[in-house]
Amino acid sequence: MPTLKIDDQEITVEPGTSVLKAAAKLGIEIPHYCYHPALSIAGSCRMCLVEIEGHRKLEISCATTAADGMAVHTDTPAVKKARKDILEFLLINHPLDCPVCDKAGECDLQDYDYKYGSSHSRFPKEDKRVRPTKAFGGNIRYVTNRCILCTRCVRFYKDVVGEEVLFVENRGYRSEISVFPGKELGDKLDGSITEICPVGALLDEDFIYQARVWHLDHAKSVCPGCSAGCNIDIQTQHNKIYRIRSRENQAVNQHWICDDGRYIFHKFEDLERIESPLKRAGEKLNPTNWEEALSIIHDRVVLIKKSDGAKVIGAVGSVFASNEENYLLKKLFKEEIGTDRLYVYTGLFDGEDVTYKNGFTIRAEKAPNRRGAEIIFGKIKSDLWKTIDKGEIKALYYINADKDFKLTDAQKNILKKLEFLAVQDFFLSDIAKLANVVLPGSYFAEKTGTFTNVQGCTQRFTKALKLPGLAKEDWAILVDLGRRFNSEWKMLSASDVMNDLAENEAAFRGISYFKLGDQGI
Amino acid sequence: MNVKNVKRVTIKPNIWDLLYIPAIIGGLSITFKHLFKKHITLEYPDEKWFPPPGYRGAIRLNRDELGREKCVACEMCATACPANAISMQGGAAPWDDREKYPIWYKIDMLRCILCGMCEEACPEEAIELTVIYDFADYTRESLIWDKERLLKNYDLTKDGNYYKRQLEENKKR
Amino acid sequence: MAVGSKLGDNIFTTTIDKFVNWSRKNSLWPMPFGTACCAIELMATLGPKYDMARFGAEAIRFSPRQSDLMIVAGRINIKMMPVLQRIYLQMSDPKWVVSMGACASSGGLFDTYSTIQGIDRFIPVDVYVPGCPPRPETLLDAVLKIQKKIEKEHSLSRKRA
Repeated sequence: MPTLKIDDQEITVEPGTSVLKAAAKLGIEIPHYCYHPALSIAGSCRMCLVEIEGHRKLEISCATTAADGMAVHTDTPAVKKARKDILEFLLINHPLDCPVCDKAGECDLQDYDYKYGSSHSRFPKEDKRVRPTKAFGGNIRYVTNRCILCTRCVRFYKDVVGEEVLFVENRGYRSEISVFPGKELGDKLDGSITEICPVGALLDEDFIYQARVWHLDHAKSVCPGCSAGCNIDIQTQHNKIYRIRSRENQAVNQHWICDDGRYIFHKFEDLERIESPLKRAGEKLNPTNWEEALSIIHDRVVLIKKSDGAKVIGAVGSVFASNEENYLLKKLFKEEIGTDRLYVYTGLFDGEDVTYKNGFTIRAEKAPNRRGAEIIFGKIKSDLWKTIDKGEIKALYYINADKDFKLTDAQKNILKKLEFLAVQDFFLSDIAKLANVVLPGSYFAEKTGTFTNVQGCTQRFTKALKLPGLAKEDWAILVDLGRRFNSEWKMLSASDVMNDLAENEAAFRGISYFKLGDQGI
Repeated sequence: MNVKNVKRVTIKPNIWDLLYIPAIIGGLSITFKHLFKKHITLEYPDEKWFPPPGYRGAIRLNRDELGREKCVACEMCATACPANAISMQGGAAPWDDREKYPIWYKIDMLRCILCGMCEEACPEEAIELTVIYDFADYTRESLIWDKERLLKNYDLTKDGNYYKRQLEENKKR
Repeated sequence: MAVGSKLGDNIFTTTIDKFVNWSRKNSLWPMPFGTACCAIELMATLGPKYDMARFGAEAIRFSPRQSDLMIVAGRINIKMMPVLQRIYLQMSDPKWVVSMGACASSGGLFDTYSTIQGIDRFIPVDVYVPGCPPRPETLLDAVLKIQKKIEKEHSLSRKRA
């Protein structure tokens, strides 16, 4: 366990740690471009140069392993001059695009030049080299002028994806990044190169020119696209999602998210949202208010329970719903109403799990919370439709959280046999159109809750958008409904629901929002 | 303060002092003189003050040589504005030689405090404060100026003779 | 009012309208509701250089009962808002309101919990004057615009806009 000194602060690190990582542990920032914690070390940018006592020249800290007794200095005049010189080199040909470049505000070149560079150029009147912008395919635009050739994108494809797609074409002054002839960017991880590029050379066409990054609000969330549960950061402005970026979580998704999750928010934009509770009047659904809608459900359930008993009432949770919602559904229908007929909507599987070289996997199951649903409801029963068909269920409470929800004609006919159907949904899906009462819910970006991914990791997602019209968060709807059956329910926030869940379910014991933090358990 | 050698003087008012008439005539004569002096009133709207060129009046968006707005939607002005009066949406420009331009650009002139921070922040010299100072209006909506209105301000003031022209138009009316 | 609709729009009523409107617009008695910096510019407008008396608006009255034009000059806070509303309601018809400055028109720079974001949330406003503070000429331009608005009124069957 080597012990070394960085800027007169001592630290003991694992053998094999680089000086840059050791400095990061101490909180000392060493600027770097080509180094990325998840990629192999290139050592080409020379930005992380530090002075090590006893060494003749400055050493790059990303490639120097920490040795016992090393004394490292990151703030000597030699180091400062080296950083200034490298930035000057980079800025000789880097275009003055900051007003139009999307990376402004999160650009490493801007940040390091502000901190370590000089404020005047020695080449103000000379023309910069100009090369045409390339479209790499998919949503990626490569602005050749801005590239500083850190080769992070090249190494990303080699180390993380496994297939070498990009390479450095030509040599010296003429170097630029290109797609290997015969290959194309078509992989699901392409969007990540726009995140790892330190400057505005690789841009996402989906987000380009739309907003400035410092105006965006952030919300830490979990992608609902598949059961991997990658951690994401939803960035919004004026109640509209502009882009989704990844969050680091070494246990679940390391630093990456796939393109399906990156652009998933577009699929929710075009759906016809329900803005108020609806109740059926013949063929049409008329808007009403919450009081009336919840009263109708409560009264019908009590009526049916009195006439036919609790066993003809069923409830359907969802693998797309959060743990809190599934738990509240179970608590309401099992304990308060007393029925055992709890089902779970499972959604579809799409192809196979796709695993990349570093272990990042896109799961085939496109639902975020199957593990959570299995833990809460037990074994998932698959005979819902048969049971309704037989007439054993007369009243059904259905939660839908799947944007791709579709009913077959046969299922629609079976639903007609029900006496009473209440649907909690966020858009007018097939089943909402057939319901007696529709309660407007929300989708993942508008509520807080937890998902449990396929590895068993429970992760928290938070609210990014405001709810439209009279819609409420799904767990809040269930709490309101539950309060009508049992006024003892006192859950005021999703955190309270989680605490209740932790008390009553063995698998979730000890979990609270505080413990879950950013990374989940 | 020590007061030494105080002399007590008693003024005995005579009849003219008691009637106050000389005092009144003395005061009124000053007022009467002003009737014949040149008045300092600036007779707005028949006379208008021409502000010097650096005056911080209404905002305009500058045009380039081809008549397009210079603005590249970098949002420096919106970030610098202390009153959050500026909003815009950037997008890909329809011209080959420019990358980005504002699809729409709005300034709420009723929030604007005419401080000039936007003019200082702009890297393209695309936004400027003009000499126009009399732009009151009847509704709030009409004082949220969009790109066209701001560019129109440019067309009105680019020759530097805005108020001279206003006076001539007034005279014609 | 029933009188106006019964009489209709003939030479008699339009002449009365013209006369009444002319007399009203040329003798606007402002009530200066000055709370902040814009009040200084209001005082300057009433001074000799930008004389508001040329338009008949010299007699400022601090009593709402005796005035017909309320010039709200300056920031209005939530605490002051009921006072402003009460003063406005105490003014007798016909009455007009000029919202002077950025803060009275829209909250201006002060987007805070205590500042009213525009007095038109609570009282009807006829003319908004932008500026921080507006030049005296801008305020005179606003008074001229009020005069233009009054010219178009039908005084016998006056509808509050």
